[in-house]
This record gives sequence, structure tokens and C-alpha cells, in this order.
Amino acid sequence: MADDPNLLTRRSVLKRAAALFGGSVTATQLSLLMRSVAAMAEDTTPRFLNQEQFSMIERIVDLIIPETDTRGALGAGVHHFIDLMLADWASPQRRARYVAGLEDIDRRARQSGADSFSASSTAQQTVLLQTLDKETFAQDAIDTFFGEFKKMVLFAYYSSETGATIELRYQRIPGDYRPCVPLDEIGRAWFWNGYSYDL
Amino acid sequence: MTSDKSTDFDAIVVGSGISGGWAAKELTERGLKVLLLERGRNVTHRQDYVTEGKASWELPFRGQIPETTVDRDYSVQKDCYAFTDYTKQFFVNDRENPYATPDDKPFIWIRGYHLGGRSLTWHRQSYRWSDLDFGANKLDGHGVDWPIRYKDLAPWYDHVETFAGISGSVEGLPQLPDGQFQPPFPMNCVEKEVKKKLEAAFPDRKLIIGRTAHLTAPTKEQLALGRSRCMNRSECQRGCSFGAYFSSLSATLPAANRTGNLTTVTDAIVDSVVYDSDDKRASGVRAVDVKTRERRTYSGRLVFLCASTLGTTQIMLNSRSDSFPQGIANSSGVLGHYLMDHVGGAGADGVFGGYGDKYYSGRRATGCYVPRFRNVTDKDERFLRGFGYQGSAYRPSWSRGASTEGIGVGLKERLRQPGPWRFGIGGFGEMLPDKLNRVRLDEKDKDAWDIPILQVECEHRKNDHAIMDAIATDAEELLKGAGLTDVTVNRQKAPPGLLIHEMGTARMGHDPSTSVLNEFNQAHDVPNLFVTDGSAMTSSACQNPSLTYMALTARASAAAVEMLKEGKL
Repeated sequence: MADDPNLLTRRSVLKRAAALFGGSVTATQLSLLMRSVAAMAEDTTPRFLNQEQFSMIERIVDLIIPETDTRGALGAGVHHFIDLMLADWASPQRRARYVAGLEDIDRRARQSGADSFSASSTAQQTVLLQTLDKETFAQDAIDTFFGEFKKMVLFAYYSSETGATIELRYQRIPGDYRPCVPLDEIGRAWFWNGYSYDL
Repeated sequence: MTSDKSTDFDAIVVGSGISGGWAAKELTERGLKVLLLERGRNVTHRQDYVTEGKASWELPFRGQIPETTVDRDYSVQKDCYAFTDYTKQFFVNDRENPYATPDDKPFIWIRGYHLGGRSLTWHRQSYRWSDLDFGANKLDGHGVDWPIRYKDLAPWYDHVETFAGISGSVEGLPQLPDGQFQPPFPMNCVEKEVKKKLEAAFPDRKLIIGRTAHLTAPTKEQLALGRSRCMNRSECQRGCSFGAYFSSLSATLPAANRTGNLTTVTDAIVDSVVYDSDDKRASGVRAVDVKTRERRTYSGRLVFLCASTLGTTQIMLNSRSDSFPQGIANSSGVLGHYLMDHVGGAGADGVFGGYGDKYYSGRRATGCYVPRFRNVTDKDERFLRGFGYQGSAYRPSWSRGASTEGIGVGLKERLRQPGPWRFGIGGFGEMLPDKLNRVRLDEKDKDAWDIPILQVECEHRKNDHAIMDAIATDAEELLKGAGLTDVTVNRQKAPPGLLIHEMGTARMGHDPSTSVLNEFNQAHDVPNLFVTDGSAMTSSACQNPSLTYMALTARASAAAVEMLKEGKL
């Protein structure tokens, strides 16, 4: 898939979509797709992050949830949603943590010999993120920015229409409660965003 | 009903939550002209459930509330599990509705000021109390004796369950009496398996399906009120247009309205009850209109206070006269004392091996319940009274990804499938009544309506802590005994108030010198004043209390109308 998602065009998205769905695109999938393409065609200038920071999170979210047989974080607009959350939802403290956290990731990339995180290769970026992830879940680890960011990425992806309805399964009005059904029948995990989720 | 004195109404009901809704229904159905006063805004059933059915991506922040808004306006409400961007319209603004606590003794006061009150956002678990509960104070000497026993309330439990619609299973447990149930929600396959193992390992313990105020087989009466069966969305606190769960808006207020005897006034904050010292009766209430700030007095032959545990007590403490300088009906001096909540926060969670090819469909709006098993037949040396657990078996979804290592394709593939089955429980324990846990009026600090704010001073004490420790210890034992592995124990203790079962402060009792209300929730000192919400509670039991408020309110309403007819009021 695209190395630089900013270069995605309406046409390339549709072309890829057809391939993605094995050539058969349902009406729902198409309308969903057209809406995301429309959103893409709208203003893509980040509102809180600067261009360099925004480029960084584009790369990071793509590496955390890549496109496979379904769209990944970029296809679900996770980077734009995170920028929106920072602009309109986050406290000054959280904004400061994000700015400092991204700076820190960039510093770690430079310490490994790259000019910047964004300038390093996909392989180098992956290794760095895996290191940060390991540090987050190490025994006795203190709260890390990467841990906070990963939580945000998962929330942003799975609570999107793509994440909830294509990657996972979602029922707006289930009707019945069926207590014990074959997993095969459902196929995937349920999405539900019920009680408060601590970001 | 004719009145020998000219009053605006036969009865005034203050508050429209679970208790106020029931008072309005029962009094109007017995022919009384009733005024229902609600301090908050009007909420129209269905029309005002503005987030109902919305998916996460249809809200700007997908259910999250801007952090600066939370800090500024919801510093207390944010602690409630159900407080989200979907539901915040049914929670108070803490900045505009202040109360005070000592710095080292937090009390979490979760509130909703609007028509229907917390009946819109309650968790709907509905359990009868038994004589183990009504006899507890007398048995161990903490608090005063309840002036009623189970037999007094049993027909009223029948009455309210039949109307409200409670789903549940018949179990024959003396400590948790059966009721008039609609068909129970089913247990999932792992819950059935845990039940089998748990009950085999501990013959004195049971795992049953939760008893909940959801319609599973609506009656004709419920259908006629526009209610229908539960759709298993489990998004109840946003409001339910199916009317599938019991609330004042889905059930009691429509029933009261169809009598033609109900007048509802919203945005009217009652600050005090008017006492007529010649008649030795309450003659009405004083209220301030939120929109116009106009103050007026409404008169009535009966006054029912149903403004919530602390709301009612605040009104009573603020109803000062020469006859009652410490607050109306407070000759005993116990008004404001013996505040209780449930103790909880602790529990355990573990993995259940197997059933990897099984899942569920639909979001069942109740879990399971482990009824009290301590101090039921045997004597537990660690503490007095007891506790129960709520819990369920489930397969965690995407959110487990945030607490495990991994990124990339592997993470995405893993989260696409549900995680292994888990079973978790959390305890609800009884809190002893203690005089030192109390509320009073702050004489200096007043709210925007010139009403002295409440000072709440409440803390868990020795027996409460012992119960919380036992909740954690026994949860671990229970889960391990039921075959769960990787059991993690949560020993967290929730601060008072957070279980949202605050009770007491205007307790019932036999003796007017040590209690505020008699066996019919009637003020000992003021015969036409009735208090039927959580403030009336003499002890806290460990079951969720709302069903008992309903039964007490219905019983008190019937008694009050009887007394009125007999000319005793």
C-alpha cells in the first residue's frame, strides 16, 4: 500500500478498494469508502500538530495498525482523529505530553544515527517502535508515552466506522441476546463502546 | 377527593426519580390531585434521548468528553462508570451544584437533576431484602431496629415488581426472596459452567442470573404504557425509547398522567417544607423557579419528600421554624446522621479455559449475581453482616490490546478475534449505620439559589474495611474454586458514595426519640409528612436498594391515603 498516504487520490483509493474486496464492493462498503474519500479530499491540514509531528504520527499509526486485507489506521483516518482530539478534546497537560513524547521518539531515532524519525527507514522505525513497546510492557515499567499513544491509536481505530463494522463486528440493535453461539457464526470480535474508556 | 381546607393540591411530591415517580403514581391512582415538583429540566421520553442508538463515530469524540470540560464541570460525576459523552446530559454540573467534604474524607455524590432523576441512569439490578436485613440492627445492636419486617413489605414488593417488570430466576433462597419475575435472561455457556463448578465447590453459595428491571415478556399493562421488550443494546443510561427498562419516564409518570390527577412542574427547586405550628402539620413547600428566580409556596394536605437521600435531608434540615429549629421533624436530632453507602470496589477476575469456539450475540444488560453467603447460617468471625457479588463471563475485545505487548499485523490479527473467556466479580457489602457519618448544612456557604450547601462527612470504619477485605479474599477463593486460572484480585476500596447507594439520614424506627420516620415512612413529629426515598433507610443490607424504595413508597402512599380518608391527617 502507499508509502506516502498523502499521495492517495480518489481514483487510487477506489482502485485499491476493488482489489481489497476481491472486486466486489457492496453498496455499504462503497458509501463508506466514498465518505472517507470525501473526508480525505477535504482539508487535510493538521489542526494541532505541526506538519513534522503529523508526519510522524502518520507513520507510527500505520506501523501499529497496518493495512492488511482490511484498511488499517491510515485508511480509518486515525491520524486525523488524533489531531482532532488534541485540538478539541485534550487538556493542555496531555497536549504537552504528546509534543514531548513525539520529540522523544524523534530523539531516539537520531540517537540511532538517522536524521530524524521520519527520515529513517521503515525497518528502523519498526525496530524503534518495538523497543518502545517492549519498554512499556516491561516488568515494573512506569507509564510511557508510547503506552498512552498506543491506547489512543487502538481507540481511534476500533471506534471508527471502519474499525467497528469492517474489522470487527457491530450491532446497533441486537434484538436478541443469544448466550452461546459458535464463534464461526460471528467470525470476529464484537465492537462495543459502552462505559467510559480511560484514555 | 374533597378537601375541608383550601389547598392547591391534595398531595405534593418532591422529586421525580424512582421514589417520586412511584408516589405520584400511587397517590394519583387513589384519586388524589398531586403536584410533582422536579428541580431539574423537563425530559420527554424518547424525544430527549439525544444520543440513543448512536454509534461511536457519530459523536465528535466518540464518547469521550473534552478533558477541560470534565475538570471544570464534572469533577465528581466523572467517577461514575456510566458517565460519558453519551450520558452527560443526565448528570449534574458539579461546579453549579456544590457540596462540601473534609479534605481527607471524600464523598462521591453522583446526581441527575432532570425529570426522572436517576431512574434514567440507574443500573436496574432489583433484589428483595429479607428478614436477615430487616432484623440485622436488632440482632447486633448497630443502629435502631427497623419498624417493619419482610412480611410487611412482601405484598408491596409483589405490587411494584408486577408493574415495573423484573426479570429473574426463582431460586428459593431465604436471604434473597423470590418475586414476581418475568423470564430471566439466559446465562452464557461459561457462566453455566462456572455456576456448576462454583456450586459444587461451595454448597452454601450460588451463582444466579441478575434480577433486573428489564422487560423480557411485557404484560398488557406494560404494553399499554408504550413499553416493549429489551433489545439487548445495553446502552440504557442514554435513555430507552423501547421503554424496556423501568424508569419514571417509561412507567410510573405515564401511569400517573393517565389518571388526569397529576400536575408536573419542572425547574422548581424546593428549598423547604412549610410548617403550620397551629395545625402541627406541614402546609406545603417553598420553591424557587430556576428560570425566573421567582419564589412561591405550594400548599397541599400531604407532603411526600422523594428528593433523593441527601436532597431530601437537605430540604428537611433547611426547613427551620420555632417548632423545629434543627429542621422539620427533627425533634430526635438524628436527622442527617447514619449516612450509609455500600462498600465495594474490590473483586477478582480470572481466565476460564476452553469454549474458545463459543461466543455470544447481543449485549445483555445484566450480569450474574452471587447472593450473600456470609453470616447467613454460620457466624463469620471477621465481620458483621455480609456482601454479594455482581459479575459475568465475557470475552474481551479490542481494548485488551492496550494492555499487552505487540504492534503491527500480529496485533491487528490478534484483536480481530475475541480474547479467551474471562469471568469477573465485584462485591457490594453492607455498611453499618454510624452516627458520625452525617450531613449538615453549611451556614456560610450557599448555592446559587441561596440554599445552604450540604457538608458531608462520611468514612468507612472498622467493620466496613473488614467487609471490603473479605470481598477481595473471598472473591479469589470463589474464582479459584470455580476453576478459573490466572486470577487477579482487585483490593481497591471505593470511597463512600461511589457505589451510588447512599442511604439513611432520616431513618425509620419505632422510637420518635431516636428516629425520624415511623413504620409507614411518616414523620413521627409531623403526621402529614412522608419521606420514602433512600434517606428513610435504617440499615443498608448488601442488595441494591431501589426496589425496596419502590415498595416502601407504594406502601406509604397507600397508608397515607387511608389515613387521609379516615381524617387522621
